[in-house]
Amino acid sequence: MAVADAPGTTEAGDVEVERRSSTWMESLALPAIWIVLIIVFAIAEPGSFLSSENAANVFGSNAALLMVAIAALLPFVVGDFDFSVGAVSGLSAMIIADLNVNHHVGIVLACLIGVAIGLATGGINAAAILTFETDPFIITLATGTIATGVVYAISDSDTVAGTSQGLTQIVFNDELLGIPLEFYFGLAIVAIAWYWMRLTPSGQRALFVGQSREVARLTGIRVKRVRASTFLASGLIAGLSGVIAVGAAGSADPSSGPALLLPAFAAAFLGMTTIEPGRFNAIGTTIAVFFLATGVDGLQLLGVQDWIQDIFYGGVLVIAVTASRLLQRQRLTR
Amino acid sequence: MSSEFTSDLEVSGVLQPPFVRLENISKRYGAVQALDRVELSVRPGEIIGLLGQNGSGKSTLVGILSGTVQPDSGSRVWIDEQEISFPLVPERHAFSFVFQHLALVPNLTVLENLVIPEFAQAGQLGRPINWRAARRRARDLFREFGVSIPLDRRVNELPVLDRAMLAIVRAVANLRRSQLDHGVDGGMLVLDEPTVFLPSKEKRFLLDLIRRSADAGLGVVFVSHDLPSVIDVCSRVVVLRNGQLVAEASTHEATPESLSQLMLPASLRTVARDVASPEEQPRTTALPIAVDGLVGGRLRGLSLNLEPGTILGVAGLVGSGAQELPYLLFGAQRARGGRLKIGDGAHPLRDLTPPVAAALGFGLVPADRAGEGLATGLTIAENTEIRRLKRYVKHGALRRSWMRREVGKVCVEYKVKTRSPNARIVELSGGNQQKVLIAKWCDANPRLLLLHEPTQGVDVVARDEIYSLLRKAANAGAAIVWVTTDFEELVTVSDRVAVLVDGALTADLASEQISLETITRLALGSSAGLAA
Repeated sequence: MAVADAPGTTEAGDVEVERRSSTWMESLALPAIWIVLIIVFAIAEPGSFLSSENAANVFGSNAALLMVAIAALLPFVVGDFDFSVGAVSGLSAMIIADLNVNHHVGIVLACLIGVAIGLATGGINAAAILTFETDPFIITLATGTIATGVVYAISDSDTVAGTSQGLTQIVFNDELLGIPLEFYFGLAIVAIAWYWMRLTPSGQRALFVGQSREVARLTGIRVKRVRASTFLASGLIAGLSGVIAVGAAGSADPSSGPALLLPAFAAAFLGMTTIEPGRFNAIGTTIAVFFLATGVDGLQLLGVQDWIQDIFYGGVLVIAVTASRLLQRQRLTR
Repeated sequence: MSSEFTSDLEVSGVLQPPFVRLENISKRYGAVQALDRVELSVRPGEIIGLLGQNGSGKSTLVGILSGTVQPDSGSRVWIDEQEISFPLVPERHAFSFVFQHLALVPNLTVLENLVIPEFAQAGQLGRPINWRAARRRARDLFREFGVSIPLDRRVNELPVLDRAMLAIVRAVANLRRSQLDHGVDGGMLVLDEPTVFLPSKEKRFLLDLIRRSADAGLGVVFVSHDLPSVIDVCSRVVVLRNGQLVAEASTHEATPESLSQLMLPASLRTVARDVASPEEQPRTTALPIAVDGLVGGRLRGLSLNLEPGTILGVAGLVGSGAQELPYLLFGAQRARGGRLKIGDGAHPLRDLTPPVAAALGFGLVPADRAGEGLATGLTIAENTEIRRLKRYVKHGALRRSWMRREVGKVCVEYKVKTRSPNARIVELSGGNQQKVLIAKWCDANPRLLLLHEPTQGVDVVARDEIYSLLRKAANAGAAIVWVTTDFEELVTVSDRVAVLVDGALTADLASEQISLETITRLALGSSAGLAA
């Protein structure tokens, strides 16, 4: 009960008990599978998997992915797609690294520029999609591809290393409770997204737009404004994730941004099965990100090659989309 | 009123056996008897008008003919004097249908639209299309029916008349193909409201085409509200009322008035106006609203006064423009001209958008509840409160528990039967969904409430509850515009009734002038001679 309804309520649900019991089971499925996964890896690799270093690694090295997943989530909420989030994260990271390393721009200014570029890409996506009512699928696929092209142009297809130690210190070296600070930066973004979706009128309106554009329009909601703001927020968060990526790695690798797209999508869809089943939600996405991270981490400890990542992420996305679709159908007919 | 008809064919002594003969056709949906022992026969070369008010059972009968509705047991059908079993398979019996929406693919060419059905059937995959032969066949067909439409023009570039003609010619072509494929001699063409969107002067081209199809030996069933056209083209009419066949008549001496009489209930329903009667003294503080010269959709310069505290019923057939009025006044459909006056202020209707309309205190209850009215995957509370979320914000956060308590009260007030305000819309019955939709707007005391078919798909009890909810909204000072093709409902609820024909206002009936007969006569009749 507390899980399903908790955020935003002060009293325990009273009238809801009978229906909630089934929803409750649904919303616990993903955490349950996560625990099973942990137990399996713990049995298979007791020494390395259960160590506190490994736990810190799982939680502390996926903040960029978490932020990209939130960046992907926001357009989903209003019924849009943003395929450019991974590439924009990579673009932001590469611009920060290039300015800082090759052009000796101060790290603070470089980060601001990187984030601004992310926001600008969101603006370009919004303008292209909303002005002419084009398909977000195609437009963001294109802008994402352009962003990746620019990354390769800037970097000469090579990793740009040697970025500011100060940034790495704040993002990765400093720890709280044994986990690098980037974890908490990621959680801060999650908290803001959760607050917006769950506790503000504009978040509720976004939910309406995502359910049905026509209903939202005929309710007097400014549908285009809502959609534009999610593309902007998506670009902004993707830009911020670039800062975290550079800080964590101390460098920018041209291929790392686009690689975040698929797990981010998988997490957003997988997150839909938990916390608020049937709805895209920030906390579910967070759980899903760490579920995916645990899976990849455990498989790597078992000695499986890196290619397992792609197969694992892809497989989970297929399962997640199918599961959330089934849930949706079930709720519509129930 | 019952059958004393003599068809032209009978008189001329060439009476042919019916191609299709239906007997004892019944269909029950739950408590509703949609069709009750109906009979119908269609002879080759004959054009029959199928008449009836909305809900009379016409569409169920057409559904049975097209095989989409399975009639109840005891229903029987003969084709070419051979009894066959339901459901009917239109292709096998050489039946062909043209519905109001025409079912053409707008982005394809005329020729492509003609060819599609040929390749739509299973087992046609991989068979190459011979475009030259198809073009030749299309030309021959057009020549035979006196139609000249460029074959390479895209359908969305065609005038409305040409689209309707294309749909009919295509139906005849399909029918002939079925005749060849299944070795059938006769055939039947069913036309459901094909003239609705045509200007009157173009209708005769379509009627000529229908006549030519009948002359080619087909039986034609013409379903329409357009009584002058029915009289013009049909040899006899069959009238349904409440699922029963109540009259069969020759059109020899029929007039639109005599036919509309046949469609009315024998004793006009005595109206329970007390459910929904206006308050003695409606609040007069609200500003008067007036529509001035509205041009948009099919409406051509409509002017109307919308008085606060009263319900204005708007009657009009599909195609009269009445159905577009609520959407135009909410800015959901863009108007081309006209102004909206509220008190001393005037707003150009061209600039009206839904957010502006909502901010002016307008509310819209669209006919498509699930597609346009409610977010069905969300909860009752999320739907009713979407317009007034700000009031639940305290210290920067939405208080959901507070919202849920308030919505609990709303559910009681609006008689929404549910176990919780957090139930999702999909879990509710149609009537309860509609009450949620009404609560969404009414709870904010709207200035103008625009309703389109507000009791569609709603059971009798919920309907009466909706009537009194809306009367309450009027008494609270709202001006209500109530658009429906259910004219009995308008008699029950309206303080005034505006009648629209062909996009223009033909009558504005005051309370004492409102009767089902008057509304029906005015709405069904051609605009000529009936203008108020």
